[in-house]
Order: sequence, then C-alpha cells, then structure tokens
Amino acid sequence: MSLLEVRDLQIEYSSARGPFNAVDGVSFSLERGEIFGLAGESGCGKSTTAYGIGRLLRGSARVVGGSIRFDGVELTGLSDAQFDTYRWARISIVLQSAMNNLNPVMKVKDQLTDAIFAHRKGVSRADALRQAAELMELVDLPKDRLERFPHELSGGMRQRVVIAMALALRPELIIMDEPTTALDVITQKGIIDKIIELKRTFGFSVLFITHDLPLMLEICDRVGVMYAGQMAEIATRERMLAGARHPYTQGLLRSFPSLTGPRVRLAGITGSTPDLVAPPQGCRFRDRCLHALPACGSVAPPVRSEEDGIVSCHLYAKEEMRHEAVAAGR
Amino acid sequence: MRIEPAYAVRRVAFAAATLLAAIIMNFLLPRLIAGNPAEMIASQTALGSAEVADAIKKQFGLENDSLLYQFKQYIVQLAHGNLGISYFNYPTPVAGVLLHALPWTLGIVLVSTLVSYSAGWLIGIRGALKPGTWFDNVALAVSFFINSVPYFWIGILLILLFGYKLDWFPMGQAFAVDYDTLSAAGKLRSIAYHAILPTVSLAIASLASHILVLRNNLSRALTEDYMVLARAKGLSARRRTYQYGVRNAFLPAFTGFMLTLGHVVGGAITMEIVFSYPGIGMLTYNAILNHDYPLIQGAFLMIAVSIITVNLLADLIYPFIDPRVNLS
Amino acid sequence: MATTRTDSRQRSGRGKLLAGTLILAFFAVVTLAASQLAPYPKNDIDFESWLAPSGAHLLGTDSYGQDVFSQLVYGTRTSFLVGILAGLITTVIGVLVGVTAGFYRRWVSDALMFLVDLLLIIPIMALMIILASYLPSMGLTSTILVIGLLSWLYMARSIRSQTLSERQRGYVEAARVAGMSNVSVMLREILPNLYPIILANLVSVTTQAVLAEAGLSFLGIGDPKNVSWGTILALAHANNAIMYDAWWWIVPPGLATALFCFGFILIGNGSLERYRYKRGAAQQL
Repeated sequence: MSLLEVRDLQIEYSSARGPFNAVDGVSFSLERGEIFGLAGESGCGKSTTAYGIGRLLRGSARVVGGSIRFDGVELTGLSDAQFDTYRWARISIVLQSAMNNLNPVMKVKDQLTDAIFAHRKGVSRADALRQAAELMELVDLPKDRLERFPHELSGGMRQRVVIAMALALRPELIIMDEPTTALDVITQKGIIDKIIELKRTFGFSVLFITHDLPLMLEICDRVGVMYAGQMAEIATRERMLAGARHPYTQGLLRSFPSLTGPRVRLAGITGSTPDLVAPPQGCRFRDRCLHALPACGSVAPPVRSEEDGIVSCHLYAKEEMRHEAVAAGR
Repeated sequence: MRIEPAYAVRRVAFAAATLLAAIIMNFLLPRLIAGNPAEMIASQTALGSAEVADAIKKQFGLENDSLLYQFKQYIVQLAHGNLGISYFNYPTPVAGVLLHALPWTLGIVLVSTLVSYSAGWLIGIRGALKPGTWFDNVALAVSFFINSVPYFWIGILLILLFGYKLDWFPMGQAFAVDYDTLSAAGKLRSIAYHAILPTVSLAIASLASHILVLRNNLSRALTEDYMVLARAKGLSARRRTYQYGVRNAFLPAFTGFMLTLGHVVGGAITMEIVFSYPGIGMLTYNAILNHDYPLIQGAFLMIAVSIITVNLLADLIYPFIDPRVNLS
Repeated sequence: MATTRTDSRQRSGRGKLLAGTLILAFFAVVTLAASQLAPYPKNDIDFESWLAPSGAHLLGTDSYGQDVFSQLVYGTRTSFLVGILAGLITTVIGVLVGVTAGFYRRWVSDALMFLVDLLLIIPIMALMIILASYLPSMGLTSTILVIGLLSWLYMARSIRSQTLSERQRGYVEAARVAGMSNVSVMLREILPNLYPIILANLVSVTTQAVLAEAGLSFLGIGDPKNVSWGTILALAHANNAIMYDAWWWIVPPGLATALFCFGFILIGNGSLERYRYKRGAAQQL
C-alpha cells in the first residue's frame, strides 16, 4: 500500500469572475521512503495540491472533490480535530525558504519545542529541550543557536532550523515547497545533501515542489508534471532523463535553466497558460503544443499508464484510437 | 533581552535632535511671522512695567539685533528654566504656571491612553479574528464614526448626557468648590470623581485609531507564512492566535501608539476647554485669548518636551518587546 | 474544511463609490448654493433665543437668536473648502516629498526623512496653534495654508516607504533599461502603482483637515468672521448650550463632520475595492 494516494483531487478558488478549479482531477501516489517531485510553471496548481493535502489552504480555496488516502485512511473525511493528530506528527511541511517561516519574536528553541508540546502530552520541558538540541545536531547547527532569534541567523541556517522542526516528531511524510529557492548555490547544495542524508536515516517520504527541474531530476525518484491544474505526466527519473513523453515536459526539459536561476524559463514553449475560469475543451496545452492533433481541440486527452510512468496526451493514445481521432479531425 | 548601548545612544541622540528642532521652531516662528519679537515676548504694556520688560529683553538678548546672539541668550535662559514671564499671570514666570498645570494634563492623558489602548487592543483583536461578524462590523462603523468627529464634540455630548441630563458626574472643573475644606482622602476622591468624564471622553475619542491599527496589523500578521507553519504544526488555536499572531501584531502597533500620542495631546487641549479642566490645554486657550505670547510659546515647548520624553521612553522599552530593533 | 468561500469574496466597490460621491456632491451643492438653501440670511439675529426646533426653525435658534440650520448651511462652505483645499495641498506635498525621497536615494533624501521623523514627534495641533496665534489675522486662506502646509509629514513617510518597495520591483528596472528618464519612470511607472496608498492617505488627510479646522475654530483662532462647523460648536460651548439643553445647537455640527468624512471614507474604500477588483483576477493564485 502506498503511503499517500491522491485520486482525482479537485480544489476550487473563487475569483471575481467566478469559481475555478486550480487543481482539477489530479491523481498520483507516493510510496514510503520515496521522494516525489511536483513540477510545473507557477500557477499550475502544484503548491495548491500540496497545501490541500496538508489542509493548509488559504483564502477561498477548498477541496471540492476527490480522495486523499494517507496510510490507508481517507483524510478528506476527517474532522479538523481528527486531522490535528496527523498534523506534524505524521505530515509536516517545509515552506519556501524565501518566506517568513519562523516567528520573528520567538527564540529558535521555543519554535522547535512548541510542536513537541502540542503533540506529546506530558513531556517535560527538560526533555523537550534535549530533543530540540538533538534536532539541531541533526542539521549540523551548533546548540547555542537555540537561544537565538530568527533574525540572528543566516538564510541557510534558518532553513536548517525549519527542516529540523519538520523532523521533530519523526513524520512519515514531509511536504517541501521550494525549500531551497532564494538560497545561494553552495547553501542550496548543503541543504539538499542534508535532506537526502536525513531521508536515508529516517526513511520518511518527501513531496518535493520546485521550479528547478534539474534539481528535481537530481533528487526525486519520480516526478509529476502539472499543467493548468492537471497532471500532464508522471515519470521516473530515468524516464525523464532518457526523454519525457508529454510535449509539455519535453518543452520544460528543453528550456533547461541555469542552476542558479530562480525560475524555469520556458524558452521551449511559447504562449501562455489557459484561463481556468473557462478552460478550453480538450487538451489544455493544445494552443502551445508543437504536436497538436485535431482531436486535441475537442477531446480530453486519454491517460495512458506505462511501466515507468503515466502520460495524459493524445499522442500516446492507443494506435487505433489515435487513427480515429486523426480521421475525425480531418 | 537587553539594550545595545549603540542603540540607546542613537535613540537619545535622536530625542536630543528633536528637542533642538522644537526649540529652534519655538525661537524662529515668532521672529519670522510677527513683526516685533521683542514686543511679543516682553511687551511693556502687557507686563505693565518698563523695568520688567527691559529686564526680560536683556535676558533674552532682544536688545541685540543679531539672531545668533538672541538664540544663544534664548538657550541660556531655557537652560535655567526661564521661559519669560506670563503677561496674564504677572508676575509669575511662565515655567511656574506651566508646571502647575502639567500634572492635570498628564493625569488624564496617561490614564485615558492606557484605557483606550487596552480596550482598542481587545476590540481590534476580536475583530481581526472574526472578520465580517456583527461585532467586527459594529466596531468598524463606530471607529470610523469616532474618527470623523472632533474630540471636543464627543466631550460636549458626554457632558450633555452624563453631566447635565443624568447628573452622574460634574460638568467640569478638576475638583469640587469646597476642595480646600476636604480631608486628604476627600480631596483625592473629589479629584478622581471630576477626572472620570474627561478621561473617558478622551479615551473614547482616541479609541478608534487603536481599534483600526490593531485590527489591521493582526489581519496582516494572520496571513504571514509563520501562521501557516503554526497551523501545520498542529498548535492550539490559542497559541497560534496569541504567540504567533497577536505578538507580531502588537509590534507595529506600539510604534503607532507613539504617533497617536501627539493626536491625543492635541485632542486633550480642546477636551480640557470643554471640561474647564485646569491643564496645559486650558492654559493655552486662555493664553491665546489674552495674547499671552510667552505662555503660548512655553506651552508649546512643554508639550513638545513631554512627547519627546515619552517617545524616548518607548524607544528604550521597545527592544524588550521586539528582539529585532537593536540591530536595525 | 476550515476555510470558507465568503471571506475573500471580491467586491466591486461600485456601490460605495456611488454613495460617497453622492454625499460629497450634496456638500458641494450646499457649499455653492448656501445663500439659496439657507432659510435666513447669514448671522441674522432677528429671532428669539433658545427656540427649540420647529417648522420655522428646523434646528431651533441659538443664544443670539440666530437660526441654527442657516448657520449650519453657511458653515458647510468653510468646512468643505478647508477640507478639500487643505487636503489637496497636503496630498500634493506629501506625494512630491515621499516619491522624491523614495526614488532618489541620496543623502538629501536621508536628511529630508530624518527631518520628517523629527517633526513627526512634535504634535501638529500645538504647532498649528502657535502659528495661527502669531499670524496677524486668520482668514480662510491662512487657515487652509496653516493646515495644508503642516499635515503632510506622515503622508510623505508612508508614500516614501511604498515608493522604496516599488523601486525594488522588476518593472522599474525594466523601464530604466528601456531608457525612460527618472521623471517619467516616477510619473508613468511608480505613481500609478502608488494609487491605493495615495488614496488612503488623501482620505485621512482630508478628514484630518476638517477636524483640524474645527479644532482651531473651537480654540478661537480660526477666521473670526466666518461661520464653520467648528465656530458653531465653539459658540455653543461658550454660551453654555448644555445648560439650556440646546442639543439642536450641539449635535448637528458634529454629525455634519461625521457625514462629510464618511463620504470620503466611502470613496476611499470604494475605489480601493474597485482597484483590487480590476487587478484582482490576475493575482488570485
């Protein structure tokens, strides 16, 4: 059984022009001990998917359909109180490094221990502090940093604190949303190595979200590529490196950015993402696709499962179906 | 937390610079606007004695035309606490008149600030936590209304209602007519009784901005990333709200508090007139009516010094509340 | 789910804008047509004192035997003009100083802001009092100038900090690279993005100006020949209107300032909502 199974997830936002699904029928699974990457342009719904899983959606966003099974339990059916037992203890999160992850007015030690106190009833203060010190050791930070405030630490140190915090209760799943963006390359490398090392030690799974495709291919076992709220393709790292199936993924890989670039620049893909309030019929990538078939404009692309991945594209429909579609288009 | 010496020095220097700016303004304004500063500061007719007027002119260097010399003399006199002689209260020196009035103003301003700040805090927090509820909407509407009417109007209305119609509180003055015959406890009671309505009026009038600032700050703090993380951590709602939200909302509010203090003091001036309350405001009002220029200037300086002092105190307390300020 | 859909529902702001405009238009009409609208001439003291409101005197009469309603109508003119004109002066100076100090990061701007920070601590009301009391005579113009020229400090500060953060954004750099001059970058790129913050400040300085005028009049240092909402209240207080239970002399001027300021607040909030509504859709995710 997979640790996490997401089926047909729908997350809706309301906007001035009406509601729209930022996440529209996304499915994937995450195995124990696996690092699964979610890639795509900003606004494709990858962060929204992760926040939906962690029940951290903000503003008007809400899950309106689909299923999220964690360790065999359906999470969408849980009450907020029931879900609280999953928070941090089993699913923790590392937010974007560029953000204000840490409370500026609390010392590092208090931010490490408050999660422990919240979930481990009856733990003594001395015990919690000892655990906090161990956590600092895990991420190679000196213990005296426990007494510091966030602003007294460098960006890289702060992010190590955040990772230490995520490990506090030894969760099975850690969601990492752009954990190294905005850090310099050296610091970034150090943190990534640390994450991989910790994963080997503790065996947690990671849902890894980033713009940085090369980074993703370096550390993820499998990668899901999202486009306009839908999953375009899921592929193993080997498959990706050998050549992706979906034209969108191919475009992404063609536009390989420099390692330092904060965002993937889509030099290989022209045009812009579709309007989600009134999404186009058929394939959402069609207008930007170099290989568009007539059928792409009217029929939603079929999902095809292979040994090393899943692709949602007319190009990979069964031969006979494809011929039909082509014929229909003419 | 402790105060970094460099930070303390910087804040003290800033307060000193502000004080200097206030003094320069006080020195220059009459000389720039009015024709004859000597006549304003030491009017022979107002003081009723040529000798006194001449003595003051000499003290303040007004017999010399050099502005620099006059400024030097002015500073020397200030350093000795000499602000000139009040025309109207002749022969009492301005400093004496002001010191006599200051405690009354300080009393109502400080107490009302404390009251309005804590009340505004509670109301603003509740509004930000439950935006769009009837409580929040009413609090917002009332705040906007209070912010749109003069301070003194609120005072007049409260006197009309609680002083005249209901007769719960005295309609003005700082103590009863028979004050001198009262025992010490009686005197204290009389003062407190008379202070209630002006203090409450001032508190209500300044409440609105505290509500709005707190509500605004907390709403903003609630959207910060550390709030998302606090939620992901499964912390209790209480801890998230106070330790993560309110703590951070409080910080900018504290600086805002200092800025509103100027407003409150400005409002207190008119409020004292409404209540015939014998503080700096009433003094200023009478000084304006009597063209008592030395007293007007003295009152301005006194107000400036009080606010600069409170500001400096707040600056020095701030590092204990916000660990970040020492560095910036 | 813990989140709800209603809390970020977008409002178009059109209703608020309309209501605010109507209120201000109402005051503008009263200002322009005061002599036609007021039932009795200005400062007409032909009536009995302390009359309660009636058909002949909608808001009764005061201790001098003046019709309070007529005085209120004439008072609108002063308060409206002071509010609008002093508010505009403040806004122009505040934006000019704020944008300049935020855009040019030289020592001049640092010195300027240091000065602003210094002056901010000194209570403006006290400064206005000292200025107004030294001026040989206070007419409408000097009232407007004293208020308008002394109220821009806070606004300059807030505009500057917003300008600083706008400066960091990519579009300013892009415009400069594209060869736009500093002045046109300021006017065409930065200023439009400052619109919400300028508007919020405009609303607050205008209300402050109306209230400052009332305060100065109440202290007896406004224009002695003019009627304003503040002078009506000052007279009411000086003539013990409370003791005569003459609420009709006390309540209306205060409500008039409240309504006037409310109109401005509506316009401010309404156009902010409109601004967000128009840009909103693009920034949803």
